[in-house]
Amino acid sequence: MNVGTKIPNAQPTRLATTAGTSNGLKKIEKIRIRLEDALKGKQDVVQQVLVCLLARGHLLLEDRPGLGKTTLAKALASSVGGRFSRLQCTPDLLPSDITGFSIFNAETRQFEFRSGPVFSEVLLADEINRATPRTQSALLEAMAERQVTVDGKQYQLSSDFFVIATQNPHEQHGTYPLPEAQLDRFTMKLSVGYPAADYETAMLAAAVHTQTQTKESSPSAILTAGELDQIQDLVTQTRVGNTIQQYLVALATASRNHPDIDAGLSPRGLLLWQRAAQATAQLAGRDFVTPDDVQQVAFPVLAVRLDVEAADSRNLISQLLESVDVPTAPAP
Amino acid sequence: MSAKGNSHLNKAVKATDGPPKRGLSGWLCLAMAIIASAAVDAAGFGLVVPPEPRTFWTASLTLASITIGLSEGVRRFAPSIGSTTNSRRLWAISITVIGFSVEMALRVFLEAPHLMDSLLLTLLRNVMIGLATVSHHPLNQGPSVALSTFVFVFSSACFDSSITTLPWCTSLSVAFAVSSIIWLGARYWERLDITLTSKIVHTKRPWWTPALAIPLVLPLLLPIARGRLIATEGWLPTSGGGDDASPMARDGIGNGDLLVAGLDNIRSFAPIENAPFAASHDPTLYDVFDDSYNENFFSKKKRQKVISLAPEIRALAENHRMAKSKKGSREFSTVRKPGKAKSKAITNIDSNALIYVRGRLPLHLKLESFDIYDGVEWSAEPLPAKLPKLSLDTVSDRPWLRLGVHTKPGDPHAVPEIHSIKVINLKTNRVPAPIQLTGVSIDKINRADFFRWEQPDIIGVDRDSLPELTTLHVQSRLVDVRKLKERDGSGILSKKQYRQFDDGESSHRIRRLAERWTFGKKKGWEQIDAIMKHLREEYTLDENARATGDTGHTVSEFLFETKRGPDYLFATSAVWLLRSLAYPARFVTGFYARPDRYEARTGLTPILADDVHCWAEVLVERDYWVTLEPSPGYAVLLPPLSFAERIAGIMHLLYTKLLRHPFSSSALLSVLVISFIFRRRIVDIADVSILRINAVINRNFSTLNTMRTIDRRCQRVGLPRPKGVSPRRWLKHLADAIHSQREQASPTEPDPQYSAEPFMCSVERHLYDPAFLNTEEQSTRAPCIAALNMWSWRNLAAINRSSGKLKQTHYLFLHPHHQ
Repeated sequence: MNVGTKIPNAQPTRLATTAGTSNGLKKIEKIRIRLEDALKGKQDVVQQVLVCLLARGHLLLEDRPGLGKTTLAKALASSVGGRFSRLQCTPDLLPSDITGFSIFNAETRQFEFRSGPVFSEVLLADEINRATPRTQSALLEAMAERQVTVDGKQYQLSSDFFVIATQNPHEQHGTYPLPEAQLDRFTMKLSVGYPAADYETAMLAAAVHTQTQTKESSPSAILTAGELDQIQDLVTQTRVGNTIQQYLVALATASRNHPDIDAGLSPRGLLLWQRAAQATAQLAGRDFVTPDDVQQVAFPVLAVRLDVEAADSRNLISQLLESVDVPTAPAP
Repeated sequence: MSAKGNSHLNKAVKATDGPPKRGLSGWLCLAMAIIASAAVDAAGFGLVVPPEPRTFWTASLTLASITIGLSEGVRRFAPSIGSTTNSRRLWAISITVIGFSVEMALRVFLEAPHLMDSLLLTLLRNVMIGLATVSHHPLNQGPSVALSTFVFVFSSACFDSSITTLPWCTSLSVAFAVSSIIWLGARYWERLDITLTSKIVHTKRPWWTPALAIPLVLPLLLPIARGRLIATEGWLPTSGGGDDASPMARDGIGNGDLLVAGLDNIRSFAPIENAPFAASHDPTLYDVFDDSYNENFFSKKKRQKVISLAPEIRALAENHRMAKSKKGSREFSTVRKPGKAKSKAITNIDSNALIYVRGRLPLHLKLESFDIYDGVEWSAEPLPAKLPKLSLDTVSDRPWLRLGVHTKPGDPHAVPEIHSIKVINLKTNRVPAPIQLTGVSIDKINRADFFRWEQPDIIGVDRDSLPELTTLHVQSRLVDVRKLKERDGSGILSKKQYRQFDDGESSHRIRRLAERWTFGKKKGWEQIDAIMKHLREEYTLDENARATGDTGHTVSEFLFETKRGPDYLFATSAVWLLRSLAYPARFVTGFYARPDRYEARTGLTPILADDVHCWAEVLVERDYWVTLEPSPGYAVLLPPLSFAERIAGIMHLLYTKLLRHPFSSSALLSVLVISFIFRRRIVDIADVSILRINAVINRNFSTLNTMRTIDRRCQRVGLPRPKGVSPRRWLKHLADAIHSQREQASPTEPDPQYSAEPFMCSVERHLYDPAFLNTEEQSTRAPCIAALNMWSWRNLAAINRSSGKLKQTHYLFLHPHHQ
């Protein structure tokens, strides 16, 4: 079942939303349907991807090859519209391959800037942990600042710039694990995971009469660039009560005090968490944040920040959530 | 982030993590409540009336440990209690009611009095303890401290004058004052801390709040309006001042019957312990005897000869007769005028009690002993030449006269015990004292030469009479008869004294009777017991029967002819029978403190003029006198019980009480058992009732309070909302379970989740929407009622029984989106 669509309190909120934004949220639901179509049986992953998109955050997908990371990223890029570029990271990838570079045009006798793949709305950085740290940091700077500096000149990136990075699990050969400082720039880390058995059979059945390399009819974009901007602005308007903020701080403090966690949640992580919770509330049709919104995004938001093994992180995060009381008093 | 900021954050986390801390002010608040309730006990409002140091400490330490245990339990296991006004009210009321009902039950069993003011104060004390146990919520400290102060000041104003100067009593006041001062300081600092870290919430009081004070203020204004303040009759008990003299009153002015009840501090009399040794014209002891038994026949005819006495005894007796001429009659004639004794009430004083006694009962208070009997008349025992030296020592600030009695290991004595005796209305210089007296104490009398021997084993003061209202403390060591029974009787016969007997025919007949009664019995206690048993069983006590004295030997007349008579004939016969078997014995007169006169509310036993009594004493081994009670209907004080015997006695008492009131005790027991079994359900019903009453008052249901009620209900059922799970998620989880169960039972019923959904949305909006204005413009009745029905006790209890998985909270977090 789909939490986002079936939460029944999707009634008109007190703050009247403009017709444009409610229209925008309808389009988000269309995106959801398209993503679920692309990645069958992974409603919760789709939900988090949408949250990440609305929260204007970058997404890190960590999983083994062949689980549909790229499929998901492409489906998302196609829905959002705008430019989509893909970067296959290898150890010999150079920073200029990402940001772009200036070449001398003999005709105009001037240096011309050839923009790199970062000048797009959606960037899929495949196997980011196979690039060298130098290249990684060039990309991560672009993610953080939404601008690049080439030959002393600054170039602004698109305001909708959205990175979906994928990485293989750490233990794989030939990888350069992302340092914590750089992981912190991602809003979420998700893993797709294997599909359920019946979805896999359905997938096989669908593939029987289909040519493997058929040219996919590229579907039309659902959102225009401006619309996504509007929706992201709406997310920032979502109200967060005093008690919810105290709850977030208490959770962050608990993560810092936890004996099994070396470095707890940073203030930047806390800000991203609040934004993700706001996006979750909007997706549920609410214009205020509840502790459930906070908890719903706790796993992907904390997973990218707590330096622990993936298997342990789920237990650790649920321990954290269990250790802090949910506020049950109304905000003063 | 600065270090200070971090510490604040840590504090904030700690506040939500684990049970709330009870700060210094919380502990002090608790301490003040404990001290105040100790003061209630000390003032005698508690179960122990009035307090003696040991019982006082036991009672107040028990209460203190109950209070601390309860408050720590609440803090650890139910920290939410007392966090809101409603929950504070509910808690204080339930503690009050539970505490009060337990205490009422104890009062019934302990036969403690139900004094109006003490019950009211106990109620207040319970409210105070209830509030103090939740003092970890700063909100509750103010009311608790205010109540403690009132209770303490009220109780300490009622302290007995005798205890106010004692160190433990003073330390109570000092401890209370010190804790309240530190509390003020601690409260100030803690509030400062709270103010710095959080906002101050201004709650709006309803406009009519000051109107609550009107009923209090109005009576105070009455005197201005020239009205008279009179307590409603029967509402507040009073001991006098009018016609309404209630036995429940503690003191008062006028002629109520409790005027002399207090031991030390009586309002209309002078204080007892330090009363002036005043002169008075009250009747003497001998008038009392004559009032009760009628006067002597002075025209007595001695038909039977009496053997001549030894010269020295005779001389002593003569001396004694001379002394008598100064002090009035000192013989005790067993032949008295016939007719009903005129029980003349002594009217010049408000109480007709001669003496008040505090201590174990029944008690024989000896005033005079007689040795020589001539067949009709007893002669008082003369003073021997050599008497133990009197000395004084001081024990815990009291002068104690020591009678020079030394005990040796192997003595058959029980532990010493103390009786307090207040002489109200009796003219005698003798100390009415129990047998085996070891010490006498009169406050302020610190000179041994104030006392003198009046008779062997009888002490008097060296003046005409004891001043009225003197309080005496007498210490005695009973001879433990049970120990004597284990010994052989050889020691009993050792003494040559107290064995006067004559050779007359009557006496021979009496000896034969005694031998017949004791035939086959071992010498010693067995024989004495046999004689007493025969006297008590075969003869009739008749206060109005009189010996004629015609036979010249009242004992033989009583034993063989009339077989009925007053107690002095029983006593005389007992002595004569014992002496016929060569047991040393004597005839004793004095007072008998009857257990049925005991007044539970004061702890005192009055001795009236009717309580004059005669009995016998037997001498065992060298110098242990033992009280014998030949008269039927009288009993002898047994030695103090050991701990195990006392426990057995209490068990027996409980058992007999239960048997005596089988219906009420079984009803009480079953009510207790049933309310214990269904305690959670009962509390839940009360909780929901409060919610509904509030809804009626406010004309709307409070969504948040409904949510909290359901939250508490889940806890009571056994499905507490796990930590870190939001109410919505948990209630939805439970609703799913209820739904799936209903589907199995009856699939046609409507989906309960649908009806509960508006409530859940409303709750979330109340709790988390900062822009939400708390004006319930539409009726919340329907969703709240739907919610109460949805998560009803029955539904929750059903899923609690059937599902164990619900309790695994981990499950909720690991599958957050599948709920």
